[in-house]
Amino acid sequence: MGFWFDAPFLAFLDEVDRRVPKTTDVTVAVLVPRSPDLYRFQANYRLAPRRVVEERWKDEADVIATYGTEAGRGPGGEAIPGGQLWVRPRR
Amino acid sequence: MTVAEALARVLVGLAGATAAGWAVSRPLVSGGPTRRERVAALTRREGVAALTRREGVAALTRREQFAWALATGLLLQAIALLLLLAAGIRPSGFRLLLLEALAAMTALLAYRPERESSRAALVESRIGGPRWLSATLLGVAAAAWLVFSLESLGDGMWATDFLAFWGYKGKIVYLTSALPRRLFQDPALYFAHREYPLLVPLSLASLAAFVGSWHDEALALLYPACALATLCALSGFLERRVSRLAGASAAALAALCAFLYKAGNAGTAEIPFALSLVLASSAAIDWLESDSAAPRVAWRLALASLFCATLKQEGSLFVLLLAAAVWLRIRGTGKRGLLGATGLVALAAPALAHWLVLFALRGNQTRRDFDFTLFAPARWRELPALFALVAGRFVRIGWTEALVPIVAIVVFFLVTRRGVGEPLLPVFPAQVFFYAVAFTVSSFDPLYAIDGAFRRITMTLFPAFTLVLCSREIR
Repeated sequence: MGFWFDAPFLAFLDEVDRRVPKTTDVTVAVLVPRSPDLYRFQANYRLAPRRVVEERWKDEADVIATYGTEAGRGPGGEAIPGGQLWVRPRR
Repeated sequence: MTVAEALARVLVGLAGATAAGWAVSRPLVSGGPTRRERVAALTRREGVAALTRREGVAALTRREQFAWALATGLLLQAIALLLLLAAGIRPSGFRLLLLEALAAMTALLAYRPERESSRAALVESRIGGPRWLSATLLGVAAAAWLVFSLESLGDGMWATDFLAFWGYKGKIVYLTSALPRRLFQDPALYFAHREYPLLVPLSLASLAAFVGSWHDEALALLYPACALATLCALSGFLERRVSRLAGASAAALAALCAFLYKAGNAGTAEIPFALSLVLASSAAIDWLESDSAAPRVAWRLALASLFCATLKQEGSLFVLLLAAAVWLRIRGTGKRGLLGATGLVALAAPALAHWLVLFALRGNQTRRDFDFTLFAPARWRELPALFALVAGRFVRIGWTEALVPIVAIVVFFLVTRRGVGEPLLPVFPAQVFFYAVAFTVSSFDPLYAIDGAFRRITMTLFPAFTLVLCSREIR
């Protein structure tokens, strides 16, 4: 029921969850469609305890994951189910 | 881990909390006058049974005791979790059980009731109607509860509020073994209602510690447990105060409230909150009905007030309205003065103390839901139109979705006479009125806010309202 709004989004989040370390000091910017809010809420919930932020805080992110948005068309990302993933080298 | 194994572990967590809660709440819910009260009764040549009725110290029914035990246990478990987090120890089921056992043993050693007085304090309940009718109504309540339980355990919790804050915060607390400042300070969590009370997230995190992982399908067991406790509290209280039929009717009515007891509310605070409102209302009626207001009843009020305030912000509003109703009721009676103040303090102080503790823990929090600048004199002119808009929406929802139950309630009030719950009647419309005020000063479009929350938050009042409804008697 939790993904009634977009079933493939679950596979996308599972892949991000698999690839990104599960630690609190990792910030993941998840770029998703603005509506419904559930995209953001599911991303935060599923990817916890990592810090999940929206596009406006992407400069703070170690990882950027895009799903179903124009922002996912940039170069250099790895293709994952339904989107792209960029991992920024650790500072 | 299989779902069955995870469910069994959550059940152990709930049973442990309830057992500890039973031991700690026993002085407040077990019956019988104290030694001093018995001596005073003997000097007045009064029987213990008459004394228990007059002083309001009759034993609560076992169903009520279970409800109070679960509520107390959830509070104890959250405190135990916070103690472990503060000490930097990773919470586990064993460690939580150890702390709960410690609290239970301390309580058992500190309070030893006299066997005879406990037995003597049981007050015979009235039947109130055909036995088959009470049994049928209890059967209906049990069936509705079973359906809700299966529905809520059939899938992982998915309610929007669960994902956005109740479950999210619980998951963060469990996975980090801490109460990170980020939950209260990170601007990226602007949607997570940093100002909300924490009992639901802490309860979910505690139960996850029993499972050993965050298993949101098994954690949903908290909700059938709270629903069962609510039905037990309703039927037990009304059976003790009114009749068996009244208790069974209230349980059936509340259990059939499908807007509240549905899978979509598993994971939110609504279902535990409904339990807290029933406990607070029943304690308030007990306090008003006893001639001299025994201290244990005042302590029950305080416990219920704390439970309400730690679940939802509306809980503090409810206990303050309850305090106002209690004050209105006792104004013209012999309970004024110090005795009256005891009841009011018992209701107001825990809610206030809880707010102070949260303030110390996380600092001042903006209330994202509200635009308080509307209360500034320059904007007063906007308020009547906004309030009319909100009230109009309330009326429209009532007219299109709840006309039959509203008419049924009005007719029921016309054909019945006042019952023990009557003094609490104004609390419910007052609470809804303050919801209207809250929607009036909403930061969002008031109609959007009403459509998103009004039905859900109003339905949490219904089980407590059935206390007032079913305490009435046919003319």
